[in-house]
Amino acid sequence: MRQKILELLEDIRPDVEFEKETKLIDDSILDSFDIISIVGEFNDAFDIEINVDDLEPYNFNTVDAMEELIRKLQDED
Amino acid sequence: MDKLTDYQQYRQATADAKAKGWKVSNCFFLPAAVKEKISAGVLYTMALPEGLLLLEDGGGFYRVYYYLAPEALPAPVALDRPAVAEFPFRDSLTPAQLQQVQQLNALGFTLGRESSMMSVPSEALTAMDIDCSTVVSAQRSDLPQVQAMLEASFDPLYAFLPDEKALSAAIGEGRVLVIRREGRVVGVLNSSVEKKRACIDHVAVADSCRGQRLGRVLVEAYHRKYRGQVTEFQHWVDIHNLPAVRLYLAFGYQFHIRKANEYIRIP
Repeated sequence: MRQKILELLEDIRPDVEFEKETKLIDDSILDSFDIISIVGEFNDAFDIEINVDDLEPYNFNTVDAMEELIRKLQDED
Repeated sequence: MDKLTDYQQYRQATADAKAKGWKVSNCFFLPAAVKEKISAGVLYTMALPEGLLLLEDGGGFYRVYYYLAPEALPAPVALDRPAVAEFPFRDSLTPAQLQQVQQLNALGFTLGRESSMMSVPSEALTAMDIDCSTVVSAQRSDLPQVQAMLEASFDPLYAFLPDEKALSAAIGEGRVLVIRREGRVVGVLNSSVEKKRACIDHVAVADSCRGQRLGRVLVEAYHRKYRGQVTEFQHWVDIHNLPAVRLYLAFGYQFHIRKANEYIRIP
């Protein structure tokens, strides 16, 4: 799963070294359009539904956090 | 229409929308962005029979964000000023997204603009052998002319024009390039840089100077300014603005998979 997440993220923002970043949202590295793209890609790739309640910085600041969010949403289904 | 005065109101409104199954939405605000808009007093809610609209006052128009019931075709919405709803997507519209477009049409919105991201890695950029010596960084004294040129050149419905404070900050940070002739600003390029990515926000040339390739000169100067600092250049372009599309293709930009349509409603 982690590899797929990285592939999707790197396709959206090839200029960001996602594995190294710890504050993707807090440091404004990802903008709102990036988030829209990420949400769309994650929803399609992992068959989940990320909604407004999930759009918190702690869910998107790191790749680990995104992976945790995806697993949580998959478990909820 | 109700003005949002605190963040909890927003959370409650969107939670209610979710609880009612109104999950068709173009709203992906992060909390910080919402709080900033609420503090600025520019965010409103409007209840629909089967949905909720968030309206951001853009000064003379609304930016519209919606939460709608799937499959529901809402009645036309009554708004007292022009409105725009942005609809980002990748590559081409899916059946679910086409359904959303139908819902926007039912609300009274029609397609206003089709945009695509264009991008180029720094190492693939085509450098042009042109004289950029007339391009300089804008000074604070240029602010009124730069702002006037942007407002004259772009439709605020689409353009995300910076306000005076944001433009002043951009000038202070060296992100605004200008060409002056006889003390008058005749060309402007407003840019932003995030991490290793540079973006052109606006490029404008005075009507009296069109056809003189000043746009090309500004863009080349912008590339030279950031080439050593970023790994990618990108720009959103109206796909029907053929001169602009040709210009960026000439620099090596290619169309990206990221698209955005803007649907507008004029009272």
